[in-house]
Amino acid sequence: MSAILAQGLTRIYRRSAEEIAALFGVDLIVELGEFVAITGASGAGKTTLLNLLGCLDRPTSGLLKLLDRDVSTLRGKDLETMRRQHVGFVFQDYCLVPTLTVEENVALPLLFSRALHQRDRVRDLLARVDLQHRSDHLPRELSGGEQQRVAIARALANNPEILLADEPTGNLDSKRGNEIVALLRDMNHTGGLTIVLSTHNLDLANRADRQIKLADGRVV
Amino acid sequence: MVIFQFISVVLKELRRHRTRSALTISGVALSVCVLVSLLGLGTGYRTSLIHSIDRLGYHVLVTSKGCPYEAATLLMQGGVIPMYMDEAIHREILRDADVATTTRLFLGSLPVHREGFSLITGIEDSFLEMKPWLTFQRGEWFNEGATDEVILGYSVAAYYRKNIGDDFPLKGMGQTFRVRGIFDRSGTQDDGTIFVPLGVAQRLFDKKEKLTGIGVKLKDLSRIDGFSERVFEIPSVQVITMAQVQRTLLDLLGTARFFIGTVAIVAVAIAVLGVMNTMLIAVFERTREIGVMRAIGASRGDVFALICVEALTICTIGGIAGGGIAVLGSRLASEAVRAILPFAPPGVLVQIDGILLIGGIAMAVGMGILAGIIPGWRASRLHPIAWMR
Repeated sequence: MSAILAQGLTRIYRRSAEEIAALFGVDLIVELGEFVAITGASGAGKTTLLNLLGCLDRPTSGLLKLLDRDVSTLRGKDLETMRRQHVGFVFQDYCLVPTLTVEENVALPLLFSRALHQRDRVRDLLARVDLQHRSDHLPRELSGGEQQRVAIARALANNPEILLADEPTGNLDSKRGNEIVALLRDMNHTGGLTIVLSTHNLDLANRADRQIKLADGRVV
Repeated sequence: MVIFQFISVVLKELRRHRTRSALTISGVALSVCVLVSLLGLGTGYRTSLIHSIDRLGYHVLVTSKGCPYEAATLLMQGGVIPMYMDEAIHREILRDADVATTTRLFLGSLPVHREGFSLITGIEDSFLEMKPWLTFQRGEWFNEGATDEVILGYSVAAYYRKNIGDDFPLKGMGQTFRVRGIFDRSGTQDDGTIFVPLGVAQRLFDKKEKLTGIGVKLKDLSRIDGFSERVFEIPSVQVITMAQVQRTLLDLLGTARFFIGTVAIVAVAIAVLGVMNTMLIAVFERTREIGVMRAIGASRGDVFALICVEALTICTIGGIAGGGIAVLGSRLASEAVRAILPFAPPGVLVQIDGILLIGGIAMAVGMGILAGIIPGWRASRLHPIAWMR
């Protein structure tokens, strides 16, 4: 069973009379437990591809399977359930809820999946990203690297099989960026987590099992 | 409970925009305070009015012809009826077989000291038979044939700080009276009245053998219609039954309550629109946050619920605050109403009981649900990646 299977994946945005093909005919297979880096210049389609893989968006055409389930035709609640149960998301600018503490941010996905009273799980996740001592802090009290680690812990709250990270080191200096990639790498090795991350940074990309390069919405 | 977790998230969000949250909550509090106070005024005014009419003590009031309700209201509120009837009418009424007791009344107003006018009521012995609840706090009834004695209502005695045996000059009449008795508080217009013997009142106003009203108690209240018809035959007088007065005044009050209700509904509608507007702005500002929540697992229903719970929290806090302010300020509101409506009945005019208070808070909760629906729906329709575009 593949973690991700995409065939002819296309996403066209329509604005007025204009059509913009952000992704065109992408074929892709990511095996379970693989660590894949998607590279490419800005506007190459990296974020669009991750949004489709993460069930945040729906393809205009093409086939997309996650864990052997065809998600390209899913809508509404089915898509939400797929996203909630099987995919974790990490964004470039962390996107933590500023009013919630570190612990509350990590617990948020558990609230949405109605898995309440999971304090031990949250603490375990924070321990995995080495932030248990920061659990009562607000995001603004943390460094960028720490915030991104919180975001990773949050992405793993529902124990997904696939983690998607969109430029997770984009806002960090190289040292902090390396730490984040090392952390992801460790989770991939020890936990068998399938990771797909997008990056501009070829040094970081080189640490992945495999690279997929995008240009103008196509795999090159 | 998921709802408590949602409330916890929402409270933190409200704290993020303290000023905006405080203003929105204040708007709701104000509208609930207005709603509860106005409804409390309707209830309190009605209760006070019924109490006031009941405490007149008569089944029937006979007055000279004119507007019967004006006469009854003046009698209740302490005004002067500028029409008189002959004492002969009293004798005629006494002959009626259905009559149990009568009491002759002469009402007038006189300048007292320098403070203005006070209601003077000329009464006779049967007055107390009509009003058994009217008891003496101090002193006693007039001496037989006394011409210089007054009995003061509770408020008059308190206002002028008079005690038994004190002088009580009636300005302009050239006569000083002596305080013979002071009635206990009755919660009616009697508290603000100066009582003199009937003959003295007739002499003071130079209306010998004239009356302004006759209070009548019947042996059997079910015979009131027959009695009214017989009195109707007497020229130049009219009969007012207290049931009629009560019904008519309550009808008038019902109309006033309709307008009061309209004002309250407008206040509530404005508050709902205010909260809705705040929530729509919040949704617009939080497009990114909502998108992220969708990305990390929130369903459309979760987003809808979060926004609705936020509106609900604002309105519930506002409702509790507004209800509390209404209760604490009810005495002040009563005084304010009395300042605007000097003829308002005695008693607490703004009565807020537990049911009204809970109803006000429940209304605030309803406002929250209403105010949260459209913003919640709009938030739930936001595309998870809308903020990225």
